[in-house]
Amino acid sequence: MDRIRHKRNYDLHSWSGVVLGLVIYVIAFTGCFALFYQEFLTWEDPVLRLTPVEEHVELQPLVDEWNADLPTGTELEYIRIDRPTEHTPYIEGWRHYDAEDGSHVFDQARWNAQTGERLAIREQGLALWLLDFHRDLMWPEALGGRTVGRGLVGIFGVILMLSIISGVVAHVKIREEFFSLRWFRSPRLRWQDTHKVVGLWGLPFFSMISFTGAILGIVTLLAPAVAVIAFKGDTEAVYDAVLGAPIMPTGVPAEMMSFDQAAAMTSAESGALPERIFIWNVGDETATFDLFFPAERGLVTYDALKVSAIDGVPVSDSPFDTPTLASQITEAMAPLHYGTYNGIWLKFVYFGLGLSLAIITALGLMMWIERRQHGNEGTKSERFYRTLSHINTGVVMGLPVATLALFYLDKLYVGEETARLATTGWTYFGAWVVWILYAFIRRNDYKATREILLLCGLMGIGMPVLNGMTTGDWFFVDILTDHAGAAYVDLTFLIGGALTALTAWALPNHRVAKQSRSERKVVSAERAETQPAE
Amino acid sequence: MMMYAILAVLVVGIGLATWKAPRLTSVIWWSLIATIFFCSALLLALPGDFSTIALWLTLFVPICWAVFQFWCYWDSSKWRVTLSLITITVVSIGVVVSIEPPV
Repeated sequence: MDRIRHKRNYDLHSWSGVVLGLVIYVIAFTGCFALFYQEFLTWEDPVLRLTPVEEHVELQPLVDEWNADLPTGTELEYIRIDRPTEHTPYIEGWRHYDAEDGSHVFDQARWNAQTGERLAIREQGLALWLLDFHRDLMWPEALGGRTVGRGLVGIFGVILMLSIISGVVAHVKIREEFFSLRWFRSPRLRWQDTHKVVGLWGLPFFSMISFTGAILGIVTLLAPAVAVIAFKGDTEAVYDAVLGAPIMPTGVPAEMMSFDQAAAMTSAESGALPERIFIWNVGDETATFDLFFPAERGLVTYDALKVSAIDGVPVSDSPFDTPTLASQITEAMAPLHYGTYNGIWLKFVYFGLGLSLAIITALGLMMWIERRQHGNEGTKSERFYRTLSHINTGVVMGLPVATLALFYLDKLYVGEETARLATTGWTYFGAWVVWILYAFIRRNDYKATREILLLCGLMGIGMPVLNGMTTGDWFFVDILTDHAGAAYVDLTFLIGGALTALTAWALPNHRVAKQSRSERKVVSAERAETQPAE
Repeated sequence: MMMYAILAVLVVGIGLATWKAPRLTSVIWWSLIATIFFCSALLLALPGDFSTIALWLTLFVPICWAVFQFWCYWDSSKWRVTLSLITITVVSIGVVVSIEPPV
């Protein structure tokens, strides 16, 4: 590659990273926590810490009792029932209908799988925030809502892909750089080597995560835009052409099969019972069940079947009938992105790799600022680069503290349940801003980083104590029971917090800027010049 | 009227930006526009089952966009890539207008 092209490519890598690096850092870091949504849900709500069951109570009486509170004549669009699993040992239901005032209502209910007792639904907070901030940045309705947010995250996925491609092309000595980690040289060289080595070793994961993330985000914004342009603006025609026209109710009432009869149907492929059941056009002669059977084939989460809810006969021409290669690859995107296809240990591998993506993004930004602040590439004042450096430190180090602060809020919250999610958001941004300000007040990025790292460690260590004191569930007791999900969250935070605190404690008090060979030569030459001649 | 005024400002702004900084405008704007219209044209022009093609194109959109963006800084001529992306957009619009979507 010629020198000018190499420089152009390097500039593309550098500027795409600098302009959007902090956003990519935020998405990568929040993604590490989004992996554990189910586990955090159990940690968040003690009511869900239940023992998994082999058999559960009948479903239909629960649904009938639930629907009894609906106003007469309400037309349900669908009801979804999830049967208990090992990770969610309770029965969970959703229903969607139009209220009398014309608003769309999504309702949720949970039942104890053994007794059928209705479980209290706690308002969403911690777990949802950690998942959705990664998925759609909790984008406000006033600016277009979650769809826009999700599309933006997808666009950042494409920028990350571009950054990866240009980064790989920028490596002219790729084989040497795989193993080049000069740990005892200057901090800048250390950051540069870490950025390259981790970037190269993690390349397959980073490529996969950026591509799947781009697909999951773009599906909501760009793919519809492409289809709507092709259909000259006719949105309904797009949905009909891609998904098939929905079965419309005829208005003729009919006796339906019960949820328990649907739940007893087995998969022709695996013989498994359905884990998730949808019913559409409730009470109509066109009513159908969508049955989702757990699939044990790598990245395929479910085998699906559409049957008539009147007689259980499979519906012909259903979109589930003939999965194509394209549909299988598209369906594999979410399990691939969230690591849900091979147990909890895979999620920890994803966590480590995701964290390394966040770290190399932060290192890239630090290198860019450092080269300009202390090197010869800067064209602005030193104050300008110092300010950038403080912002970078505050944003990068403030995010973990803000994330951990949500766990404390969750357990110490005393306000109205309806305000829980909003308070979660204010706490998140509030804590983040406080630590950005701290980076400015401290005026020493190294010390600020070390101190905030220590704080993160201590907050992690305190998490099991907080959970034990507020819920009475101590991890060292619960870890031996068969509902140990929350206890494992506690233990993970305890170990992770202790390791983080130890790392921060072991770091030197001051940044050690070991001189490079050329720097040492310059200093020696200067000393030689200033020494008196013998 | 207001819409036309906004549209005119947008067109003039993008034209000026393209003239002043063709690579930067291409990487930010033309690569995205070319991707959307190129994929729309492919959706209509490619033979086969429509929903399957739509799914393949969903997978193709981010790759296509990233490749177009990368191309902007790879090509040694700053005008060649800009003009190519504009040409792809115009030809794709022609395909979209001339082919009727499936009923």
